[in-house]
Amino acid sequence: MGYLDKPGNIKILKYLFYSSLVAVVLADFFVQREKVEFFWDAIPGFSAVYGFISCILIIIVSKFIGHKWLMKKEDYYD
Amino acid sequence: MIEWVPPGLILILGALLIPFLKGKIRQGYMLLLPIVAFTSLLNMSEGTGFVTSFLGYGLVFGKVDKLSLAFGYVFVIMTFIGILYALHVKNKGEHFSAVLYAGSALGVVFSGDFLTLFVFWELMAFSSVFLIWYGGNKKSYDAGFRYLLVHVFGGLVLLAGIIIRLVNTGSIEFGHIDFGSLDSYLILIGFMINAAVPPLHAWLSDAYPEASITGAVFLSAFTTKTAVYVLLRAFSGVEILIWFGAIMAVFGVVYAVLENDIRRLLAYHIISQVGYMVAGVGMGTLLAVNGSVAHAFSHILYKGLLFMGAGAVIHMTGRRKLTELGGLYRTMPLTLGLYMIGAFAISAFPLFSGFVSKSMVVSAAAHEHLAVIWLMLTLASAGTFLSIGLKLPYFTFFAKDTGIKAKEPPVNMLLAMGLAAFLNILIGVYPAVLYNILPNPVDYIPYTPEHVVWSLQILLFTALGFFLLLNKLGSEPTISVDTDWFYRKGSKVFMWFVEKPLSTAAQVPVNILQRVADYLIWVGKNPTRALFLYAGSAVFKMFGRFPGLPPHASEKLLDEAWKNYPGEPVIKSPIGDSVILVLMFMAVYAIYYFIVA
Repeated sequence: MGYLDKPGNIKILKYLFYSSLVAVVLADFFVQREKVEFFWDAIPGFSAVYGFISCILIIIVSKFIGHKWLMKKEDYYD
Repeated sequence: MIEWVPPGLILILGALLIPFLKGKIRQGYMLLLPIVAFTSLLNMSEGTGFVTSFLGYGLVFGKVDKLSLAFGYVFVIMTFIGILYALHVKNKGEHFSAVLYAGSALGVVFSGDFLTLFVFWELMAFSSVFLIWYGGNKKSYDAGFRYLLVHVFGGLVLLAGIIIRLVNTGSIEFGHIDFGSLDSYLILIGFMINAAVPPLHAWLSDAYPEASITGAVFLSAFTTKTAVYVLLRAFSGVEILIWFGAIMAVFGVVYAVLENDIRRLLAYHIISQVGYMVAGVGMGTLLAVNGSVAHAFSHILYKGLLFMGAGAVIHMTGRRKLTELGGLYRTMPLTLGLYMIGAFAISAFPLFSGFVSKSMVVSAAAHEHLAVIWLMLTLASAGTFLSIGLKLPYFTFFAKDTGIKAKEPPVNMLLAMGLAAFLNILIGVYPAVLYNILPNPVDYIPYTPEHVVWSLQILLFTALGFFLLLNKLGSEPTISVDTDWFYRKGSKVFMWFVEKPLSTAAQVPVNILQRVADYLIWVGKNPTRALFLYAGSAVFKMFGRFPGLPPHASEKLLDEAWKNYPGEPVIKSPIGDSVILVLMFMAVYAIYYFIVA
């Protein structure tokens, strides 16, 4: 019986995860910015948005390219 | 008194004894080798040592400065970890090639001239291919040959560059190369093949996953990082490398998302991570060069750890595909924990090694105001965590319970992973250990509140994206075609061309000559009668009959004469035949000269 087999534990992990998302974005509003190299460095929460978009984009674009051209059956070269 | 010996020589010469030792003595001896090499490293002072003369050229085996020392340290540490991880393996050949491979990589790092460098470069290719072949099945055998062919090709390109450079400059010294001449292009291409820069990268993702469990750990450390080292020494500041590096970083991420084989997924992330280092080489600023070296250093430690974790899973379950794995956190929690330390390190989580090294390269891009490069490298960071920190562990250790009966790996494997994990955390928590050995003075503080918060946002929101698209990301039992398609499928087209059109065409002149030969043999059997037959046929064709015979009887006579040729028994008249042959010959001559004149 693994730890994750109990539904209650998964719920706890979910809450921890969501609250850490909120906490880290909130923290970004109070952080002192010493060096601003690009304009987006000054926008609070920018890296959260960029990280999220990057992740979605990577998954969707990669899978699209993969299904369209790259992915073949495992015996393709045999 | 000799204060130090180049560590590469210690390992290479030390490897020669491995096949003669047995059991515990061999194990102890092998662990001792990197320790001796490390002691020698600590005694090395900056400068040049171990110079010998060969054909009038000075061969330098010990060019020591901060750059070569930094790579030397991590190579020797990784050799120790790799040997510890492989300690239970009985196959002496595998140990021999692994230590030889590590030694030749160290040989490259301390080479002060191109000839020495080239010899170690080739030795590296020829010793490492055995680690792939020891994978022990048809796939590893084939992949090993492809690996070898690519590296032999790369070595020849490099050699061509070295020779042209020698002819043009008269020097074989290995140092900074002015970019822009033919020799510099060739040398750069030779280096780029080993650094796995697309489109010259496919040997890596093709071969590494087919290597033996313990061999892959060595492979992940040395070839690409020696390439980063030589690039740093020869081509730092070559701008095109910035773009190559950024493309590598994203390229590896895309393929990793599609990958189902766990070690091939990790292999694509070698390409991605080496992309950061190559980009750093291209920027060439003090911070960027430091970043490349630092990232190479921590990369070797965390990528070794990841390959050890994946290797442990394959070793204990016999399965290597995400679609066939799952639920292992119940039975292999230690492996999971150690793997995750590597995953946090490569994803650049605060307190892990990647955080203090990768960010130097990304910051260097920001300092140079390279916005697109910065965005690409940051995107690749998200992709790294996505595939290595989330997808791979999720589908291997969690997701569906496949009910695989697995145990934790042998204790030496766990110890090796533990040591790598410790070093990754040590560097992350106390970056000064790494920063003190970098080639340039370090004026960089990774742990600022803005940097920590910035990184955590990227990583946590990548995780959010992962869980939202979990059903889209499911692994599929497929392979993805890469640029090795051109020589894997291309070789089939080539073989078809050789077997069908080319060999058919080659048969034509053979057939013609065969027929000429057959004809001459035919004539030679009875030249006199052959001549009479030709003459008779000509007369019959002209007049339709022979003089004094009706047409019908003439035709019959001629047919029988052809049929009976050369006559049974052959009546030999040597003189007559010779005269006729000579006459025929002279007639041909006469006609020839008549036409020519």
